[in-house]
Amino acid sequence: MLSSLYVRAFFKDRAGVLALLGVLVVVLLAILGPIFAQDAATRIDASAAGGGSSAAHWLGTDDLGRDVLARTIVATRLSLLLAISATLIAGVVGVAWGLTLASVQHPRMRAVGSNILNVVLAFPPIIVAIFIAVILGVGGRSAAIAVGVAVAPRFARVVYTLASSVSAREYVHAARVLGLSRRRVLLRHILPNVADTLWIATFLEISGALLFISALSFLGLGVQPLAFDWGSLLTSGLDNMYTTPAAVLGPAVMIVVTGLVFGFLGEAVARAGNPQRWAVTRPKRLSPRSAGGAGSEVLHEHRLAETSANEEMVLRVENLSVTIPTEDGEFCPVNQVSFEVRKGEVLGIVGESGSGKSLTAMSIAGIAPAQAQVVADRLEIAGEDQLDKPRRAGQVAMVFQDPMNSLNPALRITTQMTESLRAHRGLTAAAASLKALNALRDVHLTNPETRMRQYPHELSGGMRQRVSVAMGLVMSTPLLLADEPTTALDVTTQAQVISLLRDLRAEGMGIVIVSHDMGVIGEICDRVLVMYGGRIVERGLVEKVLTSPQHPYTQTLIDAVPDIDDDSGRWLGKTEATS
Amino acid sequence: MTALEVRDLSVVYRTGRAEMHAVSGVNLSIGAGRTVGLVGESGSGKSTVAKAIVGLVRPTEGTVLVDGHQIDRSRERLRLLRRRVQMIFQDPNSSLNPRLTVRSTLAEAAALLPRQQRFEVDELIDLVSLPPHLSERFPHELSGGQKQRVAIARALAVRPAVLVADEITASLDVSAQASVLRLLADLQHRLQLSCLFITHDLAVVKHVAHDIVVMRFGEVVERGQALDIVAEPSHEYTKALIAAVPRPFKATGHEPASRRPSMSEGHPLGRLAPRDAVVSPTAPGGSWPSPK
Amino acid sequence: MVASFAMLRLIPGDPARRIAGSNVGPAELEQIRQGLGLNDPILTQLKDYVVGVFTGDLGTSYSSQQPVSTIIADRLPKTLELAGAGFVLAVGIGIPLGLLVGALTRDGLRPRLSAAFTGTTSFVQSIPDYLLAALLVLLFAVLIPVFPVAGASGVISLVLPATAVAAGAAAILARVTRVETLAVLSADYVRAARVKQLSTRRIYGVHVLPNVMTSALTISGLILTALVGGTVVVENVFAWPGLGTELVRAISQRDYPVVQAIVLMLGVTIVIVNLLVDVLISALDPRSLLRAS
Repeated sequence: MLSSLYVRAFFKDRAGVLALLGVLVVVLLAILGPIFAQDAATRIDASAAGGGSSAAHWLGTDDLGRDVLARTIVATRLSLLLAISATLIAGVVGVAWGLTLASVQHPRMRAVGSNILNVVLAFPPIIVAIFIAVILGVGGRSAAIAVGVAVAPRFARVVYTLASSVSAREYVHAARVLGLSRRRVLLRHILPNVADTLWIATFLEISGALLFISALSFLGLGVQPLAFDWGSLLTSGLDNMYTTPAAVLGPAVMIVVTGLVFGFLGEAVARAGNPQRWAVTRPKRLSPRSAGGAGSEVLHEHRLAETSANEEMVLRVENLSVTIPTEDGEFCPVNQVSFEVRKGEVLGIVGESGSGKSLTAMSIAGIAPAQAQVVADRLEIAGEDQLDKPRRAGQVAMVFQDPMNSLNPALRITTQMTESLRAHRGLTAAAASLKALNALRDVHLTNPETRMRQYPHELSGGMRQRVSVAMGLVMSTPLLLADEPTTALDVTTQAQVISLLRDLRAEGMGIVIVSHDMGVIGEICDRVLVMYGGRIVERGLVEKVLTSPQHPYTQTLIDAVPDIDDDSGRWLGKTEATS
Repeated sequence: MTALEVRDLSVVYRTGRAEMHAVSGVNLSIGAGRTVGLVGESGSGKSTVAKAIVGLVRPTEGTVLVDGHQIDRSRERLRLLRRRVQMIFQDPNSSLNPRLTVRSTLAEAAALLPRQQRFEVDELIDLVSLPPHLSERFPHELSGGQKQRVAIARALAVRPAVLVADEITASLDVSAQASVLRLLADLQHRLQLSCLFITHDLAVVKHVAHDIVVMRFGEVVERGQALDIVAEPSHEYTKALIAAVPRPFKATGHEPASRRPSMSEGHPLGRLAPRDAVVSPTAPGGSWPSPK
Repeated sequence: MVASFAMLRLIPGDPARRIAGSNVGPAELEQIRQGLGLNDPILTQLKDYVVGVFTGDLGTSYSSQQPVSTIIADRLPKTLELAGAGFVLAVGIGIPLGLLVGALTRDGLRPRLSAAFTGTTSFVQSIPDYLLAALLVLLFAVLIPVFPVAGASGVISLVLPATAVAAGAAAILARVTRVETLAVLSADYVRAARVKQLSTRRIYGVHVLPNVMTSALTISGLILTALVGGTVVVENVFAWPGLGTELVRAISQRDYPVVQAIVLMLGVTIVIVNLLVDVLISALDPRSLLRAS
């Protein structure tokens, strides 16, 4: 039942069916070619020797007047047989090698084995193949063995890497914990998940072996006269290139086409074997977000713009929308969003994944993905319009979720701290680093002088988040956008970052915190926006929203937050032991 | 009655010449139907404890007892005993085999029991309140919360006595987290399961666990009843951990959600319900559903 | 080194008979064997060989009677010249192309360009270099005689062989560079640089390029060794007077000391190249620097 799903998936893939047809044609040629064309391929006709392409001989004739087209067709069988035998040898040797290495438990022996493999891999297979072919003596069979052994290490590498990575997956752990037999874990949970890569590797090796054996024949190390494969035909064709250039084309085209169809078939088989890559035929899991039908938004206050127009606004957003064109029409992850942030105020944007909260922040910072269209009636930072003109530097700073990824691993902290000062404020290196040093002190980074000279990988996650904040401080940006700034941190580090943000608020910076975590939002924000399906569904002062949420979505969201000061044990399995 | 006991567990990893003591001398015991929360930050060794209990990591020292019997990884006849402890993993994206449908995954696990004790796949799906039409789906077609439900169903298929839950809600949205935890509590109640609940989140563990064990750098620093530990922590580290937990409701004098009549559960949420928030009404008590 | 020695011993047939031809008596054969040291115990022969290699004595060609070291000294620079030219070409085309297409197709922009790029590069990659060489000769030397068919006479004669050797490598390099560029462009640190309103030149030059180069360089080492392998075959299409043509001649004339020495030289070249690449990478990447110290 399950397997028929896979077969159906294969035949749905047009490229795969074409590749299969191509392979079938080549195989048919290999079977039928020698039966029907053997005679034409070996008949010596001195009168036609070295003739160019003609009606009788489409690709011309060779030195002895034999028809090149017929020879090319007949050669299919030998070329293919040699390539497949070489792949079989490579497959058997490589899989055995790779699995043996992967099953070595002792870490040091495993490292040694893996290093040996790497050294062997450093040698181009063609040179290894020449080496072995010389030892074995020239001929088609030894060429196949030589190529098989030469490409075996590549197979071994693939098998080793795959086996090591898949057996560390959690579903393999789960299968072991269930007590499934070793054989079953291997056959059902490990092999199917490495199969796609193995298929690709096998089919690619067939085309690779074809090329290498042809190369050996071409060098005179492979198939010897009387017998002939595409490689040796190519050699004789090259000799007569001036008189019959078409003679080169036949074998050349066959080698390339056969290589390509086998490669494509391998990829198609791999695609069919992986449900995640099947074209979606079921209705999509996620309903379109824009159809959220949120009804009217719940307000706990009058819109700030009206009540406090005179106060200093750090950020003013009116009717911000983001649309992304997709195959099924336009997708609107952010829909008509308006809000303001005052000086020294922390605004929280809360929502779950897919609510559009991160994209809103990125649009404000001017770093929305390139294919997204960002429109707004108004987007001002510190009173300056940010739309339709090159933005001025130093308006906004941003802190990202993943501290591992938010600093450039190739640059020292100094460089990253000072580059905007030098580029936009025209400071000298010395003046800029003095400022940077002060900023690092302001975010309470220990040993700022040392840290400046270090690279990001030498800092902990919490330190990196501080550096990100400090990068905004050096430019005295009026606005800080923080996208899930604490999600990737341990609780104790998280608390430090929150208190740092509080300090900044006290100094008058406007801050927007995007988070899915009501806990963090409630802890630090003055006001909060709740986003759902790209729209704001509720907004207001944090206390108001938290204590009396009006919108049903906000209610679910708040009810879901565990409160450490609540002693009710909401998710306790009720037993006699609890009251 | 003790369902699971861990005595003097130590795990030492060796990389080259260096030794890393991931877990040193940890003792744990979980009574039938109770939940112990194992709390710690990254690097505390809490996940290693879980792996050692289910046999994914070989303990350097110490023993693990299930129902009073020592389990040892090599002996085949103890496989049945080992099956009494099942694990649910953190990452929903990697805890299900991507090549198998929900039905195949569950059927495989269910088939491990003798025919007369066996669950039907549909029973399992119902047990974890998954919509039945999801049974023919592949993991990548499910939401994170749904995947965790399937993982729970897979673990329940062999009728375990103990569940080890390793950060099972860490990568879920809050509403999905709440519904998965509600499901777990409900199942625990109905099936008299014991649970080792591993998390970094003290606010969550307080609501999930009867007892709490706090770990740091591979060692247990404090243990006790959940409410006591949160109310009056004695170890400095536990105090710091608790102080660091955000308290969104504290300043507001807000009454916790669970104490006031729940608005959301009775509310006709309609399309606005978060993807994973719908939980079927709990069946009245009792133990395992009887096999068909 | 032991392997290349073993090769000589494993080859079936008697080298002495090969040198002397078929019309000599057993006494003369024995004399030649003696002269070649073939009658010594095998370990002595191995020792002589190893000592020879380190003193620059690689033996004497059976067929031309020249010292093998002279032949190598003659041929190696030509092969390095070709491989070097191919490498410069592959890197010079592959990396900028990968960067450019990567930048143009970021965030899923221009899906058609992306498909065309993948199709073209995988096609170029699948054409074996000697075949490409043959086609190039056919097109640009025979049908449209712009370049010389064969030989090594100045830069002009380097164009076709270098192109043949470099094309596949350039395609691989371009693909790898593009994938890496896409990954780097979507990294938060590049977003952070954009938030800072740095100039496009600085973003690409300082933030994107160095991080792309680390992995491009890693693969460049592999590519350089593959290029050395490719030259062996391609040289024969163009009668390029390097190690490859000499290797084929030596194989067909059973001139084993030469075969042995060439295989050894290629091996040594590859080891040195890999070493240089490793050093270069750790010099450029701060993380591997730390690991080394």
